[in-house]
Amino acid sequence: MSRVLSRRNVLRGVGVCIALPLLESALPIRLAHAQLTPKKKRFIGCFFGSGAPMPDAANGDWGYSGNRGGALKPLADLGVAPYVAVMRGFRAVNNFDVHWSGTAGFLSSTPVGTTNSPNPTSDPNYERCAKSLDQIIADTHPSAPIRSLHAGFSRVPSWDEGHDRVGSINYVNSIAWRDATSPISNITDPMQMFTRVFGSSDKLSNARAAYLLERRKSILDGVLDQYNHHKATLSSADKHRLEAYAQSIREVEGELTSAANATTCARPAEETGGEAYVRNFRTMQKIIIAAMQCDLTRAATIMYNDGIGPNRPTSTVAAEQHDSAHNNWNTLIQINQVQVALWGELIAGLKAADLLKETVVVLGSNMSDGRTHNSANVPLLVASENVANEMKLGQEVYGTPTPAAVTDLAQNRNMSDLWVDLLKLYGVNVTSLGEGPYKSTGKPSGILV
Amino acid sequence: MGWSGNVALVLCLATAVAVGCDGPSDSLLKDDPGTFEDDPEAAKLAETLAAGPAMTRNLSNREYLNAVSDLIGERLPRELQAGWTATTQFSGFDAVPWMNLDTKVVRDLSETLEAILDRAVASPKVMTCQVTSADQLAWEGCAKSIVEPFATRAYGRPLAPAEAESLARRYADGVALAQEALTDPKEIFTDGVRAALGSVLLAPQFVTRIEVPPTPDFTGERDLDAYELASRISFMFTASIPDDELWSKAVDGTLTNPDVLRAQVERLLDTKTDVFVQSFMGQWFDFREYESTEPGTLEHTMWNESWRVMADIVKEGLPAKAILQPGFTYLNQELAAHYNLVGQFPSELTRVETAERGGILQQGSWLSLSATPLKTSPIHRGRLVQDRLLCKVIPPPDSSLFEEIQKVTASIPATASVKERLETHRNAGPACAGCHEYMDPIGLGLEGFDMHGRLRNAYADTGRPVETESHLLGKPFRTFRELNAMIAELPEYERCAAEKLTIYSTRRIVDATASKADADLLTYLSHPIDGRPPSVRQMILRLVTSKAFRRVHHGGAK
Repeated sequence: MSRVLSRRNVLRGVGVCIALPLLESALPIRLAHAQLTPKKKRFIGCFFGSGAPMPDAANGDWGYSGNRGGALKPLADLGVAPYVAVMRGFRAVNNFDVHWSGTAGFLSSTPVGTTNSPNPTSDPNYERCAKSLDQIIADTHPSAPIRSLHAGFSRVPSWDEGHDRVGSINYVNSIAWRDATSPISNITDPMQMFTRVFGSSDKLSNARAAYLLERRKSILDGVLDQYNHHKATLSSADKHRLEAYAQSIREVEGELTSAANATTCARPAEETGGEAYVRNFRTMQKIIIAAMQCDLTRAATIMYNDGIGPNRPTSTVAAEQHDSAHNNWNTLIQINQVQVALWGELIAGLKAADLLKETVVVLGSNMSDGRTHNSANVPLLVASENVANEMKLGQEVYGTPTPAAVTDLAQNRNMSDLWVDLLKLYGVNVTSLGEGPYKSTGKPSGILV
Repeated sequence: MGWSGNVALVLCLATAVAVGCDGPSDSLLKDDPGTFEDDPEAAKLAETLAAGPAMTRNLSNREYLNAVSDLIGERLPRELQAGWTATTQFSGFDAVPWMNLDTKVVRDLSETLEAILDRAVASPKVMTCQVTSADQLAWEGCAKSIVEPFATRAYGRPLAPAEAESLARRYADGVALAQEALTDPKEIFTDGVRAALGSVLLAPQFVTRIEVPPTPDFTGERDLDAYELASRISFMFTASIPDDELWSKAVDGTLTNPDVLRAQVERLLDTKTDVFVQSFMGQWFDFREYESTEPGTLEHTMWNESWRVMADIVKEGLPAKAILQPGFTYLNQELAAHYNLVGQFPSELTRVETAERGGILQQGSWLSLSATPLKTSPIHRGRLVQDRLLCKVIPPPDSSLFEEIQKVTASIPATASVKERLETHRNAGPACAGCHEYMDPIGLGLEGFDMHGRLRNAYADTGRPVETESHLLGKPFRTFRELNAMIAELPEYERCAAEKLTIYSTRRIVDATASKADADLLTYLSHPIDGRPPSVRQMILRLVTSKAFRRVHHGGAK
């Protein structure tokens, strides 16, 4: 059998041909690339659900200064505070339950689709949001071996009928959306992320590892071959559904190819200390940094929690994140500090790898006060390192006309204004982003100098 | 009535002697072989039913693992799926959205497949022959005799010629690849087979279940064929692919005969009762949560209690109201002590006749799973009862009310009782009362059980007495037994059981308020027999032999 023009290579080529036109939503953005000089290359969008204790502007401090032992204390401790802008007066997307909409719509400023209609019956397959910021940035470098990486903690399988019939549970499980109907699942196992990036564990010889990768790819070729025969029998609706599966198969096959080419990249060692939650995120963050250092990928997201599921990061914390947000702010601050510390370590890691100058890292939430599900003035941080004084870092940046207005939802800014400004740093000039009342206004967010 | 009918009559008479049924198969009394009703009214209802939508769905994680286990003849451990995207639930039952078939899922499958294939190529059930030399590597021969039957059972139907050809190519490709890296013909053969089997186990023909139309653009109704029926009922009763006997009825085509279909369902109800109730009722009442707990733990014993009670309800032909009031439960020393029951109990779980326990709302599993580890929530329990037993979905509170809720909560004196707290919330306005009126009174009626399912007269933390007197739709009740009886007498109770059964079995949304076809189906399934509610078993038989199950429409309801 000829290895020169294998069926696999042909199919892979077809896959690319089919895949590219599907990115139509990126087209206007990509056309605009030439208008700006990119200052940044990479993006990491990070998220924690259920908010943080943020009393109000009257106190002149919302617990994040670090000086009062608030949730931002780890940033000061890690020495990364000068790279961080504390964004104030920005609101989360809040249609349906803000746990759902504020998570799914975090990086797109787009309300989630719901089935709130006279007929309450919903289709469990119905999901609608919009392409997220990480994916727009991934579009700027379509030839990246790995389009994007997505780390998470757990996955909520369902909530209750009242919610499940109105909005998909996937809304709380993904901040990354490939397009309006395709949420991207997070990898929760560090070993799987390692394999995803580097193809195999480093215990195998290169020759053996290469063979095993080829063997796996051969199986995926076979799956596509089976699908090609099957699809001829399907209705157009089912064909459309399965085409998404076939596309996933093609992408994973592509990942295996890129993994085979990643043998020269530095492979981070697995974290062995600490409790599983911290250990796993540290390892996955190191993998993301290593993948970026080797220019395998430009975009990533990290969900430190989903906000409603069992999220107790360490055994020393006496309550779950969701319960703490409702009932116990002391434990909530402890949990916030664990997550902010992880985020701070990510910043420090990027700085140490000399990647922070070309990377923007965001950390945000879907609400401020969890007791009232308040969508105003949500926790929102932006980190990077200035190359030519392009960003306001190491300070608080207000989206509202006055500091006192941060708690006034009506005067809060949409995050879409911030996303539009950040995209400019990547050479992407978009005229508008987001939908409905969360659409960008065209006014500067304040992050750019 | 032909030969098969006579055989069925003999079989039924034999069964009647064995299990005490009332007489010959009802289907023998009817011209229409699709109905078995001797009640003219029920038969009339059955005739008016509409075809259901063609099934198009993904396998859940459990179904995938079960099906692969059955294919290779080895029970695969759940740990293989530890990192997989969790199966989503909808309407209380496993339902995997199409969007979940993303790269993460493919990655999960692809990586786990390596471990599965290691077992498959070591399985005597799969590897029915072997090669010892390079000249035996051709597809025709050993490879084909392994791969094609495997794929046929995996897909649940005969292979299309193009599918078979594709598998042959995959084998050849796998062999070619292996020949570049390996020298042992046996290993090369194994890796060739591995490539073909792997393609099957990841193919959409296996990971999804789609009842395909006769032609892609076909719209209209049709009967399910024998293979499709076999797949439907095997996943319904065993959460896996058809076993050998069911498969043989698909292969010879006899499963489309309603008598054969009914006999197979009866067989599965008798022989796979445990698997069926653990899956169906375990999801319906959430006790599946405890299935994977360590054997010997209290939670595992509670799980055993739950499914055993449910299995007896199905096996013994008890009505749906027995779910609330079976009159018996399963206890051992440990569980009885936990429930604080007086008497001698064996070390093994044993059926015990009692009115105090056994009903789903008095089972330790439900009572524990409906509470947090630290406290009970009458609101949550009430909402669960509405959803699981009465099919009433309570919407989440609008976030605009959250501030108001906080104010009301802050206004309640610390000394207020649970009942007073709930009343204060309910009285805060119609926006609150509109929903809480349905939840709180039921939840209060169950406050006599703590978060571990033990009876209590007072709250452990405050020492205050537990108040369980409440009302349901304006009718007062004093005890949980009265509450059980009142719920079971509600007209929506039987219909809700029928709805849950239909959702689970047909993997689709049932909405009797919007769809006349769905309303008709629920009316039929819950229609009394001799003036009494049908048994759960009769509901199942009615559903599976009904037009709504055996006949499907493509391209929109007719």
